[in-house]
Amino acid sequence: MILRMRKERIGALSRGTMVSLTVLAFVLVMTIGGAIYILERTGEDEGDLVIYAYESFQSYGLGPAVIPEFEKMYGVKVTVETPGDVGTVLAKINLEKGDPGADVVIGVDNSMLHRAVEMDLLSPYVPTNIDRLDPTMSFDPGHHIVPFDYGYIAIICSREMMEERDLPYPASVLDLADPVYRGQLLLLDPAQSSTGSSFMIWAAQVAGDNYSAFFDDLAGNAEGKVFGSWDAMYNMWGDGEAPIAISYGLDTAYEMMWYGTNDTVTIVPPEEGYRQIEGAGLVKGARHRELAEKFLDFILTDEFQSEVYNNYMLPVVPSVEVNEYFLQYGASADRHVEPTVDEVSAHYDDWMAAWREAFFG
Amino acid sequence: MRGRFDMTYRAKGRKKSVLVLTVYSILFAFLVLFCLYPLFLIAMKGITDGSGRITSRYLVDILRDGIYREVIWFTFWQAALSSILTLLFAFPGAYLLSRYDFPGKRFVIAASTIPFVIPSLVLAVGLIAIFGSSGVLSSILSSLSIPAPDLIGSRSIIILAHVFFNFPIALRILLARFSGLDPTLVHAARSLGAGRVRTFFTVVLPQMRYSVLSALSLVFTFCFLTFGIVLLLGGLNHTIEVEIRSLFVGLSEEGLHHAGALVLVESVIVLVTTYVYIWSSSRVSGRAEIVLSRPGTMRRKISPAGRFLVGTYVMLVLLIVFLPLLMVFLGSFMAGRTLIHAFTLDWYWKIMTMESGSGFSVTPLDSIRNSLLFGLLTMLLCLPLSYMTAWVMVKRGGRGKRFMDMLLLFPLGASSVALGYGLVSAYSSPPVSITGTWYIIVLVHSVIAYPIGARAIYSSMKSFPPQLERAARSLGASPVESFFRVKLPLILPGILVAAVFAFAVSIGELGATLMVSSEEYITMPVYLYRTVEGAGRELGPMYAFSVILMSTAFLSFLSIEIIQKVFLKWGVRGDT
Amino acid sequence: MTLEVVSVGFGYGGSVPVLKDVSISVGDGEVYTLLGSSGSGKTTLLNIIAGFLRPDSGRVMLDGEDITHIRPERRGVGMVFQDYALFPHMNVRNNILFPMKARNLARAEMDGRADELCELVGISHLRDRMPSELSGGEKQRTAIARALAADPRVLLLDEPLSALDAALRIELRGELRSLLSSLEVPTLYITHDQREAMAISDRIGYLLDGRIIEEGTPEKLYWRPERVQTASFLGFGNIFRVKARGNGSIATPLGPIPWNGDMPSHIGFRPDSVRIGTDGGGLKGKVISSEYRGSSLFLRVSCRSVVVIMEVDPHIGAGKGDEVTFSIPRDSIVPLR
Ligand SMILES: Nc1ncnc2c1ncn2[C@@H]1O[C@H](COP(=O)(O)OP(=O)(O)OP(=O)(O)O)[C@@H](O)[C@H]1O
Ligand SMILES: [Mg+2]
Repeated sequence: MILRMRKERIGALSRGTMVSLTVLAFVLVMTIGGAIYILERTGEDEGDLVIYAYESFQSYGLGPAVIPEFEKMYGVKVTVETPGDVGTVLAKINLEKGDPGADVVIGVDNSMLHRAVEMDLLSPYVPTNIDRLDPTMSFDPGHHIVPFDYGYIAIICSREMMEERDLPYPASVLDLADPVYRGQLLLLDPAQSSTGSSFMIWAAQVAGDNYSAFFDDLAGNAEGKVFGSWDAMYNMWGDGEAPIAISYGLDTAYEMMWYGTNDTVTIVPPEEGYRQIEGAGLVKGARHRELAEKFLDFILTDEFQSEVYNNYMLPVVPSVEVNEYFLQYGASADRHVEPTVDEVSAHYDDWMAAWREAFFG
Repeated sequence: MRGRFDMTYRAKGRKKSVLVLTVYSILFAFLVLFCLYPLFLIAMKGITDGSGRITSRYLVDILRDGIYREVIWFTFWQAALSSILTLLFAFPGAYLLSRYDFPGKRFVIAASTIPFVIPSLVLAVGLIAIFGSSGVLSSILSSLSIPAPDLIGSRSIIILAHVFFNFPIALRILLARFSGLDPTLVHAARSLGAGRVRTFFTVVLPQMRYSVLSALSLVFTFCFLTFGIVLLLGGLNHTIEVEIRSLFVGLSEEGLHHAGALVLVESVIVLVTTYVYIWSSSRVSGRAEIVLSRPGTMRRKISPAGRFLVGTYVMLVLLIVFLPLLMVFLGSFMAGRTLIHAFTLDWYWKIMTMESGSGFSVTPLDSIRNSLLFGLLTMLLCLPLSYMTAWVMVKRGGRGKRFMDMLLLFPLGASSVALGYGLVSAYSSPPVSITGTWYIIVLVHSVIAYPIGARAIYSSMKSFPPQLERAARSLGASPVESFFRVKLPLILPGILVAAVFAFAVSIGELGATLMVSSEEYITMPVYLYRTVEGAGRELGPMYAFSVILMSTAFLSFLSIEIIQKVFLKWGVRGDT
Repeated sequence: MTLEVVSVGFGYGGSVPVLKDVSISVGDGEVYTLLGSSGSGKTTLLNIIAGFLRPDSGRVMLDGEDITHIRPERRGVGMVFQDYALFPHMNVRNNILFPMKARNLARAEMDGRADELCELVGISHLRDRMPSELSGGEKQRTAIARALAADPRVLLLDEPLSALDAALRIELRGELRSLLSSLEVPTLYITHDQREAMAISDRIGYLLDGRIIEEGTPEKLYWRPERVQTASFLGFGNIFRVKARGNGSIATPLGPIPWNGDMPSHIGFRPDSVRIGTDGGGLKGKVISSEYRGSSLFLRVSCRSVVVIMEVDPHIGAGKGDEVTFSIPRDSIVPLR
């Protein structure tokens, strides 16, 4: 007889499969569990106050200089997240409207504030020490943000190249439309760069009703040399792509500070200064409002203001001491042309449309 | 319908169709929740105004407004041009590779899988290393005192990158078909007196047409949906994806509506091209797989001319695949900006030791850890999804099959930027708030990755003989037992390839991740993107970080190769 | 143990069911062959018995137990597939061990039994080979050994020799016959090769149009089939319609013959039962074609209004156009319905 009696109990699983499956299940559970555990723990690190800031707040050093100070002052833990540039930061806050992750947003400047206001992202707050603030910075009467630093938007020229090409220095923004500068300019795209958007507002303010024609001339002179980020533009300028670019009033000062010599001529027309004023705001629906308000008060203290040089910017509290290089080489203006939030709000889309038409149309 | 489920007996026949329905429901629930609904929200923006009324205003806007029109047009023609160039380049290569045997052929073919797993960002960095203002090319040219063109930021570099990136994919598709061609046909034609050229045009080419179409439509789709490459290399040239992103972060209500309209236009075009792809690849007759060396007379001794052609081409292929990667690699060890500099490990040291301030921004190491974890979890979530998708695709036939397949594979052609943004905006307020969590990243990566995996598993599963499962059952194995002991081991190559792809996609994804990731869950590509953005004059850390990202991806490539090798001997394979 | 298939009907959903009313009973140790042309539903019936398909009507019984609704793995039905369905990722040994592992036998018992089975089918030296390294015949033996390793209560073989070449087929069918008859389980064997069926079976059933139209021993079906279709399938080259003539005789195209008993509608005789030669008077005809087939000569001879096919001694040497005389022994003429 070749066939045996049948053993019953068929079905279920064989020992081998059972063992392998158990091991597999164990490994899976451990892996998934482990991964989730690590990720969850990473997420738990949230502090008592959550700040969203643009990238350079951390990388330039202002954040690392002032945040520990604040933490010590109140014995709290602060988390700073830097999702990208200001636009990205505000977009994130906008997305999280229903369930805000941030308490404070750092880096909203006077060219971006109108967006934040239009989208209703910020909760107005008047700091208790508001009297410290330079009174000329009155672009935001509704107190959506507390300014923490500022810098002049400037035209920078490479002395060497200007001389080599025998170019006159521009004395006004409007001069940039002069045909002699054709191909000599590096500009910024206001849709992507906040420096660019500041420049556009500045140019529009100075040009007044003729902004549209002025943009057309600018576009003609730029010959397509328009960049998405200040970093990219500044690098190209440094590499000698063109002699003139858009930057900040402290450029020469920084060059002197670090290299002792300079090739940069920084031009801020005295009658038409435009300050990029950066501020911090209280996010609407913030979970840690009380501490957030304390932080906004902290911004106007000497502890904070004496560190803003890290940002290549100037303090907004007049009494705070500015280093000598800034004083000596920093370009500044006597008269300022910054519009208020409401004015920007009213015209921004028109300016933008004209700019796009001029540059890409 | 009944007869189709002949796998097991008929009592199960009905149960089986219940099972198919259940699987469909699970897949569709996933698809609707995490892909279709979020995309729908975005697309609705494009056709409704602020108060929710239907309007065609934004669609008209984007088709009339110079900038948007320019963006759409640019996206279209660069994709068309890129895909045609890719094909022109890949076609002769595939022909040569299928005709001639030479040492190292296996390696060349294997190397052509690399772009499947290397993130496009790394390629972009590689191209910066070659063509950038301080790249190899400009150093060479300037040493010869020829003015170097700065290609970065130009349109040509985008197209160049696309050809670089997609040409191996086209090569694989064409090569598979070429090696499947029946050599006797060619001989028959030749013996009937047709000349070489005529034979090629009348016999070979017509047989290639569906493969050409499928390669063309696939590459077109990829180039149309391109994001990372354009973001990094394109300067002010925006493709639709990049434009959508800048509108999303542009914070204007109007902009959001325009973004919605752009997503709509984009989806329509991509739907057409993916349909063409799925249709034409189902038309490719015969088993399309790459045969390394086939007995048969079509193969021949290489003539000197042939040797030159093949040699040149192979060099080109290797150059294309490896040069950018090699440059990144070299750059990461160079102390200065240009090619010839002292060897240094500083950049790596810098990355490894970069401190985060007191609980501030993330370090590179954080992003590496996060990416690995996300890759792992994405892989584990994708596997069941891909498996179920492949399973219903094999099981279900009959009317509407192609439509259902299309729907299941929909995310293949979805805008990842819109997907990311849509997910966040769909689920960002209580009770379901998933913004800033780790699982939103896993979810979005899985949505993007599972269709690719499903295709790999599908091709494995289709070549699995159902007879074996029956045999196992009749031998006393329960369904579970027979699945784990017989079916699973045999379709494992497909599953492993799917797993590797899921991992690779997750490791390299940028478009959607940029929209959904929060600071603490930053991934490698996002970190790399930021490094490149802020690179300034110091490219070293960017190269070093790219090398780390690349190595991770390269490991996945190696595992695919090993998997293929191990399983090939059982006569089963997972197609890449 | 007996396998009973009771009035099974089954359709794949098309308009005509594949199986209409099939009943088969196979006894202990019996080899029952199901003959049928391609597409007649043989594999379908096996799948029903094995549990992969469920019949629309009827039952499958094993040892008096109704197993129609029992899951395949619990039926104890061993099956050898047409293409063997060996597991390509397991070597011969592991293929054979598979069913025993599924039933969690003790390790030592499994090993012993695997060796025993390898011995039995003569593949002991191949134990460590992978299926891709086996010849067709070796695969087939492995498949049988694997099916036996599950201790089946009934054995189903679906054209197990069809994938082999002619010579090997003849060699193996002898072996298979002795192996199958030494097993004490009912065996259902499928083929469409009538010679194989004759050589291997205890009983043969002919499946046509979804029914077993005739069954019987090989001898009976070979020599004395009852149905026209069976006869024609089994090589009755000569089948003619007949008419009753009354007074105990019937009219055939070749002339009247005496008949008693039931009136058939047809008569038939095998080509090899025709006697050729001058003696006995008999019938005269003219050769239309002759085809030499080694040990015999096939002639197509036109005689009266019909063509008679005969298989004769090749030494006869009749060629096209020749006149031949032949006769048909009375007892080789079979009445058919
Ligand atoms: N899964 C199926 N769906 C629909 N029809 C089927 C299916 N399988 C078989 N058929 C049809 O059922 C009929 C019987 O098929 P079956 O495989 O049982 O034939 P068979 O007798 O085994 O033939 P062969 O000798 O060629 O193996 C055929 O007409 C076949 O076309
Ligand atoms: Mg069959």
